[in-house]
Amino acid sequence: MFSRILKPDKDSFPQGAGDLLIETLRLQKIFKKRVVVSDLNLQVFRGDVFGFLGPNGAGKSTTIRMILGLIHASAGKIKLFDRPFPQQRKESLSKIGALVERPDFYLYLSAQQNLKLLGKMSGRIPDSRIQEMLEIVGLEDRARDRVKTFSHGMKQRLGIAQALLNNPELVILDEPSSGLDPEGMKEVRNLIQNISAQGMTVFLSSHLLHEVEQICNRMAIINRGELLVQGNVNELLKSGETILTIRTPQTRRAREILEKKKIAGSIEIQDERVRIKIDYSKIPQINAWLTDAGIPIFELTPQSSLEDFYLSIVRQADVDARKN
Amino acid sequence: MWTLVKIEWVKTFRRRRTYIGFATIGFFLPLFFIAMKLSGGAFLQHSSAMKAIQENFVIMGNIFNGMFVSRIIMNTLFVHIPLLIVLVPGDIVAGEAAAGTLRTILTRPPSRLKVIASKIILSLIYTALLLIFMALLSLIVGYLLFGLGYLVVLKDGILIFTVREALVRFAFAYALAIVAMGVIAAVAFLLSVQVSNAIGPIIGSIMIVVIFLIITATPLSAFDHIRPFLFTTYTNVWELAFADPIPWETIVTHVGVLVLYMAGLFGLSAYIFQRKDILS
Repeated sequence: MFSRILKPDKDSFPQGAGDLLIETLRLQKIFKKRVVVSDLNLQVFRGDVFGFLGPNGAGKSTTIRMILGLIHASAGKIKLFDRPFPQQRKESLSKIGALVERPDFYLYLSAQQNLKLLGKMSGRIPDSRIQEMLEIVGLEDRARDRVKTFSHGMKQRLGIAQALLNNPELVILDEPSSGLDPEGMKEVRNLIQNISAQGMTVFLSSHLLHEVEQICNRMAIINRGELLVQGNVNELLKSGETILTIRTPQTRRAREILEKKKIAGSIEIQDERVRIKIDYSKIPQINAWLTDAGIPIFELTPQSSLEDFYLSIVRQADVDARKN
Repeated sequence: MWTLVKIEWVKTFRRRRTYIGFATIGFFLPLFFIAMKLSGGAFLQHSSAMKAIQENFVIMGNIFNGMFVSRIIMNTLFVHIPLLIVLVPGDIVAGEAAAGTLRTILTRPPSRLKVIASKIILSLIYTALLLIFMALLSLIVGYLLFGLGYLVVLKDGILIFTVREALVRFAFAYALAIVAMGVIAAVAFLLSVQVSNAIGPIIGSIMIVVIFLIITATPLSAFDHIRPFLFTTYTNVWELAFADPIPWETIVTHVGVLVLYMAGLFGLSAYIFQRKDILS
């Protein structure tokens, strides 16, 4: 099975590594003989904005539900805040805020009443905190309205408010931008960045790769319930393929040299630019070949997109799965 | 724990559908009494027991009074009231699963056991409140429409209670009815923890009650071995409150069986809920 797990390196986590908030060990879930999550080892450190990626049906939501105790694991272990879970469920969940899939509320109650009820389940949450959360998510004017009159976007924002209500150390958000318009997505993104800046650790499951790329420092990709990669986002992107743009007036000569070296499949020329898809680690070598050949280079720009990285990883995993 | 019960109270009694049971009793019970008032007790003329009384006794005053009609209305405890009882316990877990709010509350610190215990307590509170409402309404409307008088009970003979004694018997009968209806609430609750749609537990529990009642009431010897194990054999325990002398031993046995049933059903519900994967 294709697997490339980067071990957590202290230097890789500038936002305060060393303190594991989520740790799963060989976590497994089997539904009616179907393995949904298999041998999953995740590590989320304090201060991380951790992106959890995978195609539909990859096992992301099942994993999140196991971490929150909604689903019982078939095998493996979970540790939250260095405590065994679910054995020390109460202590762990009191430090966690979560929005799992849809933001569901008591539709016949107001936004304020919903937050009050949910707040009471997490201990004593003062009214001022409820008001503050409603203001943060921009629902203070609708606080007394029944939730059944809310749009999906408003419910989503209320869902984030309830997740942050108990001032958690760890916030787990499962597709928080789902169903939102572009403006709403941007608001959610800004909100996540803000809560991260306040010192909260964020575990974010998302389909939106650019969202993860913009706001996450670490990520994991799973497919068919198995972990494909895990690590620092920048390092992972550097470990994969990248589109390299070389700006030079001698584009044809540059292409000839690169073709001779058989370093890339396709080489495109546009104006004074040569674009090739290569492994990130090959960039210094390409630079050396071209300069040795006397080709003037004005710019050498690698463009690593999470989308390319994600698709290459997931597709490779699918190919490996078919072979097996 | 009590915080969770208070939360359940708010969730239950802020919802309109909770009042369907109260509204149904509040509408049909006075309607039924008014209809009886308008008929002037004519329907009683067809009762063989009533004919026997009229033929053999000199009746001073009115036996067709508020006490009498309140006692008659208690017969709805067999089938009609269970229909209303199951509305809340049948919905209290399944409704939250269907709405997705179960997911939200179970990511909060309180344990599943405490969550389910609070829902069990609330189901029993609702059951008790519905029956207390029925008791008070029947006695008040009965008194307003028919006045007070001796309570005549026609069962295995004729029993006559003074107003004071009748009120004590009513209180006792409704206390026993709360225990009996608690079992029906527990049946609906057990079904509720297993599904994510409230309609199933409500219909399912009513079907169970009706089928059990048929088996209990049908005088077929083939059912003799089954009857002792059916809760419906014991749910009519409230009728014993109007016997004279009160058969304490039978009542204790019946209540004991009903409490065991309740404990078993609620215990099984809690066990299933603890192990359940929340997929909704």
